[in-house]
Amino acid sequence: MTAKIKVIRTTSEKKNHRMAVAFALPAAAFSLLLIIYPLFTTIKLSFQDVKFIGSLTDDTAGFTIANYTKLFSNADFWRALGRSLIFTFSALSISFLIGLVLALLLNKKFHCQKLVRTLILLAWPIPGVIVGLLFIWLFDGNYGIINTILKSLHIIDQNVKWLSAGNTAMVTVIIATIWKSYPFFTLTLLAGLKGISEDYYEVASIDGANAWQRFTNITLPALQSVIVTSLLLNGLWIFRNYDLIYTITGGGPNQATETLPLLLYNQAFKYYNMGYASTIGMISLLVCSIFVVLAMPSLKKQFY
Amino acid sequence: MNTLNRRKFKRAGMYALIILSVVILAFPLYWMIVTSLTTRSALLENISILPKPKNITSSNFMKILDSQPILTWFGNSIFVTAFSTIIAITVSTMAAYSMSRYKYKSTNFLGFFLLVVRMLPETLLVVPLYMMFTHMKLINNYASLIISNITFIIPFSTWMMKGYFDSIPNTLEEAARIDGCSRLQAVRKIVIPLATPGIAATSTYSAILGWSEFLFARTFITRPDKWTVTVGISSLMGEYTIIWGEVMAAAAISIIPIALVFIFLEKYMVAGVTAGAVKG
Repeated sequence: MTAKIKVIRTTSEKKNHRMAVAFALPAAAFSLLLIIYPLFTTIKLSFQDVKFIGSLTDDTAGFTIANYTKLFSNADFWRALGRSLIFTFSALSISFLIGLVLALLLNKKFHCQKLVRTLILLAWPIPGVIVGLLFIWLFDGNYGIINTILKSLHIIDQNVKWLSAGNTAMVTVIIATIWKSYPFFTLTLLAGLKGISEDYYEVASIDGANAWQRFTNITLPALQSVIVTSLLLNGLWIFRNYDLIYTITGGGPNQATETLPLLLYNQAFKYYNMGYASTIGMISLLVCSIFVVLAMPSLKKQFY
Repeated sequence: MNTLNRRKFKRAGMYALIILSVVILAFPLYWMIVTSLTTRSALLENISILPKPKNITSSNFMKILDSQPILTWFGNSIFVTAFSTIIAITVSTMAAYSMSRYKYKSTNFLGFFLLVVRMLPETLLVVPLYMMFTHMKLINNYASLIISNITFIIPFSTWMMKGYFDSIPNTLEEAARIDGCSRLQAVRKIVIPLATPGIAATSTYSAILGWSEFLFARTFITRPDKWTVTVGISSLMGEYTIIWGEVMAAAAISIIPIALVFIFLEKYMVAGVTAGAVKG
């Protein structure tokens, strides 16, 4: 009797497992073919000194670490890496603060809430290229409205040629990136805030905690894993951003805004140095992995 | 009395902050619309934040639609985005259901794997994918673009959908199965209808990703008549003189579909992110 039940259970269990695998198979197949296979190609290419013009110039090129030694001794690479880190850190921290403040505001009750929420989040679905074009126009050196506004507020007396000088070009690119990336923080943090029970705040108020104490002792700890996950996802997005910077400056002037993704793309599709470009890709991947490893404990907590 | 005044004061401060944020953050989009509706001479002479009625014109839209194949690019983008979204949503809904309902090592591993894949930089993969598609003679063929889009949409949408399925109690399906439904029938009749808001939110997200895509489209599609809207519009910057009224008109046209979809489905997005990306 018991044996019979056991047999039935295992066949249904096997059927279940087959179904689970069948359902998951297409997603796994896409990822394997288009991500894992190319990833291995990249690793291989990064150890080969090859160009690609229609086909690889030297398909049988032996393995060498020439690309890596060339990269590490190249000042352009170190500068691009430094710029990438400065760009990511400043855009990420400011958009996080803006996103957090807006999420706290939108979590309160007020008139026209839905309209305000839509207006605040509307930057999110705008393609990076379009955001780029828009900010070139806003920060235009001759006819840009930002210069006009700053002049009327007496912050500057003369038009600033934002995109002609390195530092101001970087500032422009960072502001555009912040505008594109804060809505994601607002959206995720707002969702996190909605999950915190009112009771905690009531009890804390009865105990005499002020607003700042309630924020640091209830809100922040409750949001911790949401904060880490959204910082990671947005940080990776900013670090590997290509379209926005490409549109606004193309990496210029004088490479002042050339971050790693732009350096990689130019090496690959301007000079066709696929091996060298792949090496830059491997270093980018390494930087991304460091972010991921740092956020891993919190990711595990959130997803499993 | 004192506390009442304080409360009023705080409330006024909150409204001031809200109005200030909306004014600053919505300004770039406002300026896009104003520019697209302003005559060329007015833009170059005396710009003011509030548009003057005598400077308003629709000629920018007419001219840019006349001189550039905006509508062709628009159609290409709709084709690519629709195909990518439909396939990606089908594939990821299946995977998400499997991850949510069956707790096997293989399904858990897939979930973790997709999470890692989500972290990979696109620029890293564009080189080998370009070489692969050149060998397969798929350059200038939308298949290359659609396949790459799908691959990058799947990790996002699978995790979002999994969150939705997790929020639908298993007991409903069990009840249906006791009443004689097969597992697939239970999925079709109970789970899918309940997950519709989630599917709507995930589709919106996927469509946004597909519509915005630039890197793959720029690399895999080189013929101007086959460009998507993002590549086409960025090419306007290469023109000798940039007529900003017309460029902003083109930009405004290109974001209409995605802005409309977002405005109508935004409430599902907030809920969807709660369920998916930010599972408590």
